[in-house]
Amino acid sequence: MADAVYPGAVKTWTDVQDNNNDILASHINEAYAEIIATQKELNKEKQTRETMQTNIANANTASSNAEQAATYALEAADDAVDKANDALTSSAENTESIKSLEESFSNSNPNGENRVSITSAADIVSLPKNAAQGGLIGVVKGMTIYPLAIGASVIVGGTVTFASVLNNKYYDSLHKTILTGTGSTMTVTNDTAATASFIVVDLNVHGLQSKTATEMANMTPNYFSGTQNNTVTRLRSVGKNLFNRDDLEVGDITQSTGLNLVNANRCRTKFLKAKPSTAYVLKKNDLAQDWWGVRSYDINKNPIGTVWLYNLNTQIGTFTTSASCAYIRIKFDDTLNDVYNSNVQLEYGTVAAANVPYQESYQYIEPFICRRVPNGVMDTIEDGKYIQRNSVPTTIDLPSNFYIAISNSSGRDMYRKNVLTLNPAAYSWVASYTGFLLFSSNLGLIPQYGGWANVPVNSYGWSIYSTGMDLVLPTGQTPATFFGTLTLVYHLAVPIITENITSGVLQSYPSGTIYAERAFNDVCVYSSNAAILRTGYPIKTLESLYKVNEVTGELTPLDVSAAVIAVGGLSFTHSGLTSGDVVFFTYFWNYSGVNGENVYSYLDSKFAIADTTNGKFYSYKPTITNGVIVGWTVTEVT
Amino acid sequence: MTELLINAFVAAIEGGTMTIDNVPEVYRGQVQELLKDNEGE
Repeated sequence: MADAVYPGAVKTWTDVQDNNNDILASHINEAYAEIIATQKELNKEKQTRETMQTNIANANTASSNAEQAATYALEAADDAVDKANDALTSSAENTESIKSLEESFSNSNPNGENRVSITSAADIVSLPKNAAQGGLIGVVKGMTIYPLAIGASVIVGGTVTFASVLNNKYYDSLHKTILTGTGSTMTVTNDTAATASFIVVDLNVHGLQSKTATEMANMTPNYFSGTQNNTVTRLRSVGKNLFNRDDLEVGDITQSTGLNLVNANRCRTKFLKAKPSTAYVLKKNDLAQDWWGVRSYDINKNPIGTVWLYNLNTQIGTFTTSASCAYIRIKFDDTLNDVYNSNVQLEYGTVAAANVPYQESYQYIEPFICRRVPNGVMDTIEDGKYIQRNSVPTTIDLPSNFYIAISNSSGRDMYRKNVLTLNPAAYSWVASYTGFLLFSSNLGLIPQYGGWANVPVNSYGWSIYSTGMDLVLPTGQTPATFFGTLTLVYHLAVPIITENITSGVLQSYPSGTIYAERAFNDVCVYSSNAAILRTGYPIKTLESLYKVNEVTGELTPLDVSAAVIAVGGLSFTHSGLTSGDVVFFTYFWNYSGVNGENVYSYLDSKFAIADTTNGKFYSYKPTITNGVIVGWTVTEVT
Repeated sequence: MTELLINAFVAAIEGGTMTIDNVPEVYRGQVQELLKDNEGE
């Protein structure tokens, strides 16, 4: 009997009702054959099942191994993540280390050179030839000034008058001179050829009576009214070569107006901060034989004075800025690429020295107001900290057991309030009368004149009394209506310190220049515009603009002149930016305040020695023969 | 320049004008750690 074949396909059994419980088969053997086939198949199934079970077991083992491998992989991944985190932490620690390194760098002195300090309120401070290239320490100092008199847009021949105290010192910003009080009304006349805005400052009231006219001019470069303090948000140090090719942009400048002129074949600089009444020399070097020129501008960037133009053969040109010059711009009859790739050098003086590359370093500072009270106590920014030593303007509203009295020129008290509890630990400064400034919202700064007898006619001054006198106010007036709100800025008993407010490290350079500026860097995500972070300091002008690669962080510069600053200065748009772009930019904000007498400390180079008679500096080098110095070579440092 | 950029990111995030997701990957770790440090102060 041949083996039956188990059906490969699914077999469908059909019950046949024959009323017997027999297997229905057409032949007696067919049923057996079918049973045998079924047994064989079942055996196959068994084998298959066993194989499958083995496979499953193997698979389970493999799975287990895989699981183990996966576990190992996960552990490895975790380890990698830990290591990555460690790396990131380390990286961040490196960032912290950078800050430490910055401080270390600023303070390092590998050659044991003397550290020398320059104190100056000027926006632009020059370092000498013997300044070493090394860490530069900048300390921003507080200043608070309230003009006694102001003259806004005074016409030619117009005057400003003020009540003077005999022998007090006054600063006249129009003539940049110190006046001595006559005890009577004094007058400042606009005897210049143009309308002018200027201020008069009572120096004694501010504890500044020993300052020179130049020092005061540095402190008050702007016309202003009301109380002004010092706020610096960037210190910038530049090397001897003042020409930064990154300041170049395509275009020309119209000679007569000083305004931009479209010209794709020429290039010009942005506004470069310039010293007034100062000689400059510019050297074109390898630039093509084309003409170039310089335009000067005042502090408001209005064109002034002469246009210096040099013909195509002039490789070295000199010019001297006027007394009112605050900015210059240079233009070239060359393409931007030509000038960019040449060695233009701009420096102070009349003699062009050997070429050095442009160098610069920055320190950005978060905006903190630095005040000063008349006894010389100042808020400062130093070592990356804001040290607040004076109060913010504080409204007087205290119980009375000790009085500040505001008197008129007749010696009558018009107002008294307790102030001692503001700083009980520092009674001596209260007694010295110089530890605070008193402001009236109606009358401005109320000066301390050392007793009512010195109070100018029709003026007011404050004194300190332990007992009160009768208050005498104009009929129908109350202290509130007459003086408005009275506020004090006073010397704090304990300074308030805010850490980590600076970023970047400053370097000094031989014959370098330091700029105290009002600039910020900022970063944002562009949407319909680029919005600034510090909305209290809106954009005056953009300085630089970059698109940031979102992965690598690479910076791609964009043309600043193509940016459109919104009214109010809180944002700008640029055709080269689209929504989602990350934008890094620097900008100047509007500032019309005063300058503090900042201190810059640099290393005095051992290798540049000042001549004792001719004012020049020299480097020196010994000639050594057979271990003996047989001579010296001296070279002038230019 | 890099340190200035990183500090600008930190200031922008603390000021609420950016999030950490906007910071380029290369600087993200450093910015995060500086943010943590500033929180701890």
